[in-house]
Amino acid sequence: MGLINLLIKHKYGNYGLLTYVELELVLSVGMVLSYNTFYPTTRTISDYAQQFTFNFILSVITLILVVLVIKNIAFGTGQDFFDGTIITFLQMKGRKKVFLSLYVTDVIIPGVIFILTTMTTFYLASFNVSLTWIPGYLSIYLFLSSASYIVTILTKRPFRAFFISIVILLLFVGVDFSQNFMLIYCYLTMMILSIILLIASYYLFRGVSI
Amino acid sequence: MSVIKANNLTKRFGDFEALHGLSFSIEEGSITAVVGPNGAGKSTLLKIISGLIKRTSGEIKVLGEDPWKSQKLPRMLSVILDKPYLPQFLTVEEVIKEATSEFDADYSYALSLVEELNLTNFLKSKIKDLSTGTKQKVQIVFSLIKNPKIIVADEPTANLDVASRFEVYNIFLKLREKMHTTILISSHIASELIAISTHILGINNGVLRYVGEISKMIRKDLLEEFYITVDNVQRAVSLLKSYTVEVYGNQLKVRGNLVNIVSELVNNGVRIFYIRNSILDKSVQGEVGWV
Repeated sequence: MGLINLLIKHKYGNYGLLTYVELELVLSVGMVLSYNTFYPTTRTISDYAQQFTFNFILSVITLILVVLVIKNIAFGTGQDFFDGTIITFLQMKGRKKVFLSLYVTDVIIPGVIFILTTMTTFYLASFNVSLTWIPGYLSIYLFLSSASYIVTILTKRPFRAFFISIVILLLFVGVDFSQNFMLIYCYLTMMILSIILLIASYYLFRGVSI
Repeated sequence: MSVIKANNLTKRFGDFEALHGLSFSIEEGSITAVVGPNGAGKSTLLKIISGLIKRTSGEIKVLGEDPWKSQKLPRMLSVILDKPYLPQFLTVEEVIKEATSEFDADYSYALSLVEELNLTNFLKSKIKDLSTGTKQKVQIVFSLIKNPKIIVADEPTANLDVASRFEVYNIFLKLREKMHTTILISSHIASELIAISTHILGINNGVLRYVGEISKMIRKDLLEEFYITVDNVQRAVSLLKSYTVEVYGNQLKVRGNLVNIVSELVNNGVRIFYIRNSILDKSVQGEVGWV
């Protein structure tokens, strides 16, 4: 656990993952409160309008979370490439395990924390939503995070990686908007794309010179 | 037994060829000084050996593994660079604890290294708050915790004061003695490495100019040439009239028997601050073609 612990301390500071738990709790509470302003008398999604509203809110919240994660990838891992800190991690394990550990700390852990805090919030707020929101959210989240990973490995520069990742995110928002926020339903395609991007970023990481 | 074997190793950065077909082998338990002028290709070679950059062509095996592809090598090989690379916002203690846990090493051994390099007072300090020299020492401790079979050190003492340099060299010597560790150290100050190196690998302009035992490349004609720093240059020059003397500031370049030269100066009240034999620098410069 040495490498993962080191990465968590390095990426999330003194308070570790607690920082993310708090932040993501705010986002999931925000999701319920936001829905409540549209439909103050119900906490159930039963018709198209309610589903549309929920998808819209979920997409916005997911994108906010993705910005936070992109910041972590670009300014965290990107900076590690830029100043050579990555060598510390490459001294501890092979490239395969270092990549997986970085991906877990940068992407998987915040993603899982969001699912857990959101499910807890939904439960406590008696908010009845089908669990299909999870693959929908994950497909967008993993797609954009993996894209940011590729950009970061290719550029090896924190600011450049952040700006290009944000441009990709805005393009995605444009496409999603033009589709009435229905991309969340294309989760199978998005998941396949995310896996392709993840594999591509792994091979790029294996081939990157430090 | 060879632990590193390179055959026709080449590295190109775009149109620039940094290494031209290097072939050599490094013996287990040796301390090899990788020497050459700035831009000779020393760092590129060491980074290829460490698996940090990929060769363009040729072959290299480190402990039987291709360093670029190997997943096992990071546990057996340590890299120390001239620029410290540890996470800046962690404390020295955190870095050392996590490294100890990762490598299943003994924490008391890590602490003994910390003590040996006078880092005990910095354990609670964040890496970012340390001086470059202290960061370098922490980097050295981090690299040694796993008891590596090979240490690749690119100008490891570049940011250290004289006392610290010798502390680091002593640790290297102890490691070699106890664990039979193979060490590659690069420096463009060859004389600094004479005390600890057993072998030399000289590169110039990406071309391998010399590889072999240090004793075999020493120029015998330079055995009696010394640089002596004194407090009174004029008096020293007048005392050493019978020798060939050249003056460089407070330093004299003298050829002759050292015992006689020192006696002549000391007996006549000239204080000597420093004596250095230029034999390795000159020999290396001659072999490597580095003027």
